[in-house]
Amino acid sequence: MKSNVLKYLVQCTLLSFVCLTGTLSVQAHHSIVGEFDTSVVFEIRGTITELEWFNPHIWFYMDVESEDGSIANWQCEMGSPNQLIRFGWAKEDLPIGTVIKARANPARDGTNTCSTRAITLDDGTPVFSRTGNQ
Amino acid sequence: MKNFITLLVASLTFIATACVQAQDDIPRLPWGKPDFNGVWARPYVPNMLTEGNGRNQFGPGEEPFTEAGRRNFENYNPTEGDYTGSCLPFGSLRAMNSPDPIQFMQTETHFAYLYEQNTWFKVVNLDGQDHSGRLPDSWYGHSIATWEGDTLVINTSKFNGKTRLDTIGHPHSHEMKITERFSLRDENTMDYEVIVDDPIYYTKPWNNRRIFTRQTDFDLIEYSCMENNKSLWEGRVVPPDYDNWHTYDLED
Repeated sequence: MKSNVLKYLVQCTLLSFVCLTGTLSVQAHHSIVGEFDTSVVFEIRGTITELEWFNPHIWFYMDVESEDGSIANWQCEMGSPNQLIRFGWAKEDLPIGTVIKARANPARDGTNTCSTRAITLDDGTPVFSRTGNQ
Repeated sequence: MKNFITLLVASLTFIATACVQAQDDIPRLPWGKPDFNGVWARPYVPNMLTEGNGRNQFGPGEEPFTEAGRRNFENYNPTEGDYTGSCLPFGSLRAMNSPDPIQFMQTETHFAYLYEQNTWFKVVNLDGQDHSGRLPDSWYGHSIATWEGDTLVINTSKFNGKTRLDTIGHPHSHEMKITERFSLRDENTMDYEVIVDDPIYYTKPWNNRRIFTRQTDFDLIEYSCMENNKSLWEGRVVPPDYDNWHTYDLED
């Protein structure tokens, strides 16, 4: 699994997905730095395969295609449903099969796991955001 | 002289009227106390010791650590143990620092904090007496409430010491005492101040002030922390090692 992440991070650079260094400031129910490496920010793009709309954080799963055409399934978390509901979002706003993009922090354990602050459709239209409709 | 007296009486009447209007400018309960009932939005405070954002949150802008406090803070590593990520109780201050809204419910005899975060609550008796008796130290401590005019003052101590002050991990000890002060500026604006006094980890008491805003367009939403805490059960978050939680224990 770790090799998948390394392979992806390298490939996202080669594919001109922007791999950045920085920190995403998020509102979380706990410190995310224990679970995710906030010093690494990368862009991820994939097709939604499942959405779990439960506290303390929603989790969405997506198939991510690598440069060589192989598919890897990623799991990513973001804000609580309560926060997203108050910003006007609902579970139905992200149907299975939707292609989305997000900036993300990778999990420290090296699995295909990430934390996101906001996700958009492929054309940039906001879907979910921890900080409102941005 | 007559004109002077007339002017003086008029001025005093104006001042008295203004004072009465100011006092009546806040909602009150039938027994005369300010009415804090309602849902309130509050600022997220991940670090209580910064200067704050200058709008609705104001901190001390310094870290008056004792040596034990500095050592504890510098050694804190959430990858080695995250109690909130493990869905353990947040404790009084961490729960107040949460970005999720809070509801206060108030009767003549009791004041309740209803935290949306994890659907927790805390109830304080308003009779000014210590009700802790032989109860053990607890996550949210034991409170004694008094009124200073229109300000509700809640003093809390007897914490179990298993929590931290904020997301960034500022420590507190079992000896911590906090004083919370609630007052209404107007119908929809509440001033909240907490004073932290912990001689084990801090060289002097310090405070953090906030402004809460009444919310009338939504109610609290259920929040189950453990329902989908994949981070914990997949091992990316681990519970804390409470045997090595306090540096002052290690110094003994």
